[in-house]
Amino acid sequence: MSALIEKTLFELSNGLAAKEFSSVEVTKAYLDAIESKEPDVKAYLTVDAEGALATAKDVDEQRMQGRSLSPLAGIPAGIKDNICTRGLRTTCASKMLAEFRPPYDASVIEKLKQSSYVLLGKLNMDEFAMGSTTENSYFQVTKNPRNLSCVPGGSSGGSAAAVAALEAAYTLGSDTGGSIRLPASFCGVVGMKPTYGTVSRYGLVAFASSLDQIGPLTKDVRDNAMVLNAISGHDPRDATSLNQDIPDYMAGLEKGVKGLKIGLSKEFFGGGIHPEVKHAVLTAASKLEAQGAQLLDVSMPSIDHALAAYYVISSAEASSNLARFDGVRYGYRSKQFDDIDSLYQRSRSEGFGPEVKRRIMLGTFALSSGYYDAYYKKALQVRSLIMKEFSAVLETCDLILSPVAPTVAYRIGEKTQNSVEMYLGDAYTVPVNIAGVPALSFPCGKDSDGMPIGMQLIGRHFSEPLLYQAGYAFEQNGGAK
Amino acid sequence: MNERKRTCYCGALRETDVGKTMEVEKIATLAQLSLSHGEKVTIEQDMNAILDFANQLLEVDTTGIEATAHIMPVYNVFRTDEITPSSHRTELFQNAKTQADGYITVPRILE
Repeated sequence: MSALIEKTLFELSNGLAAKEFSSVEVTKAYLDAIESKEPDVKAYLTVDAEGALATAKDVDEQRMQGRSLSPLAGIPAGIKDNICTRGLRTTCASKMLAEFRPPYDASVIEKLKQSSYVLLGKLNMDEFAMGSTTENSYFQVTKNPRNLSCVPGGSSGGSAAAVAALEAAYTLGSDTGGSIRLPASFCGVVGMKPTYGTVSRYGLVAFASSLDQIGPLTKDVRDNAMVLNAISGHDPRDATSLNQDIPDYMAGLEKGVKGLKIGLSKEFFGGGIHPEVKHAVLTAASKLEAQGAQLLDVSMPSIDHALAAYYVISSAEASSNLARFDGVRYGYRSKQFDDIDSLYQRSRSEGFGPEVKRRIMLGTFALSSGYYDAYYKKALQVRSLIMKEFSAVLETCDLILSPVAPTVAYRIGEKTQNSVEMYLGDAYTVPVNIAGVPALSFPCGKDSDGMPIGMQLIGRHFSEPLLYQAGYAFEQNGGAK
Repeated sequence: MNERKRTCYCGALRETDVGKTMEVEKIATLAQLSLSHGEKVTIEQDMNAILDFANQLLEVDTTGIEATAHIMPVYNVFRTDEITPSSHRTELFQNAKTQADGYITVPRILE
């Protein structure tokens, strides 16, 4: 039955519907994979085997009774540990929330439950989603399943590694500056950062609220569209969620790329890009051209400032969002305090890790009196410029193609000592969050050591169907091979 | 340049009052963090490096450019003021460290 874990979500869905195998069998196969691979990969922070098997059994019974079920029914998934699951520990990979059991489900979890999904467990990440390698977890360092001495990328490193190691049929991650797309690229899987406002953030522990977005990580493009179908849609509990009609993301998959204009911007190929990454992405671009797409050179000079704007905006929002962790109502509380102020300060100082403290400090500085206009307001103005530039370029072309990261996955510990160098790895992903547009990250090749290289397709707001269409065409015509 | 060591973010002050420097200690107080000496040194170094990088923003001409509030033209979102069921008290209190008589307890605030 080990072959079950190799099946795509789409194949599992069809197989379950045709009663070729049961949800209990699929769930057991994934739980076995978790048991055998976790000592090496360390993608999961919590595994709920009992809960998963109980749900699987229930779904199998419903299916036997002939009930009409969702395409995701009975299929096991893993969830990033910053998405609230009622009663099941949700830690954000932080000491601060090491014992936190949410009293409610995130909206995406409610939606998946309505689809009768099977929850395998919660996945490791950088603490509060701050990082690019998953090395900032309080609990453990997740390994890249393609090479265990390398990082899986971050911050949704557990979510990408679990899909790559066949420890879940699909997973959810969150993307504030690349946190779905970067680990997808490093681990050789598919990850989508949807248009801001497409997926509800209710129940996602907030990092930078104007940038955060939940999205799926999957084995292939079609699976990704399947999951986005289940989790997107307007939610009154998230005031930034958009009241839009949600299309069927799988409907146009087969349309191909003929006639599509794809822009290539030199700003996305600078900043110390590795020659093998550049070569792989440009080769992929010519494959799309051979399939009928038209390649255009475009220029996006303001992209060069996106990273600086991102670190000011995201840290400022984080410093405000993380003020709620005070050791009073929930979360870690220090044992040593004299008064209410020392309770706050000690609980926060003992509960947060170094990267989280660094960003809270940076954000507090950027919002403090005398610096607000110079940094925070300025960054929001630069953000407007970047958004305008994206809109202008996406009027002349349908899609923008770029690498996801300047390099492939690097060794664990290699970049932990230099914050700025680590941040530069996000240079190609961050502009997408700044502009709020969607981007699909998927494998386009391998380097000489066999490590996956990823590329991203970026589109206009709500162009997810087109991104899936182009990604699917690439995948079906040889893909990363 | 001797001043640079003590008063950080010199590079950040081009558009602000040079006399008003913000020290790590003061920011930590604003952020309700108590940092060890070692943490202060590291964070000061890191913040200086990050702010040196962020200072490129000061060179961008943003005359007449509005600050972004939302990526889409979304304005105030209203809902009707109706009573709806919320979480159970006992479930909410499961995560509180100390409680008494249906309240979460904290150290005495008023003498």
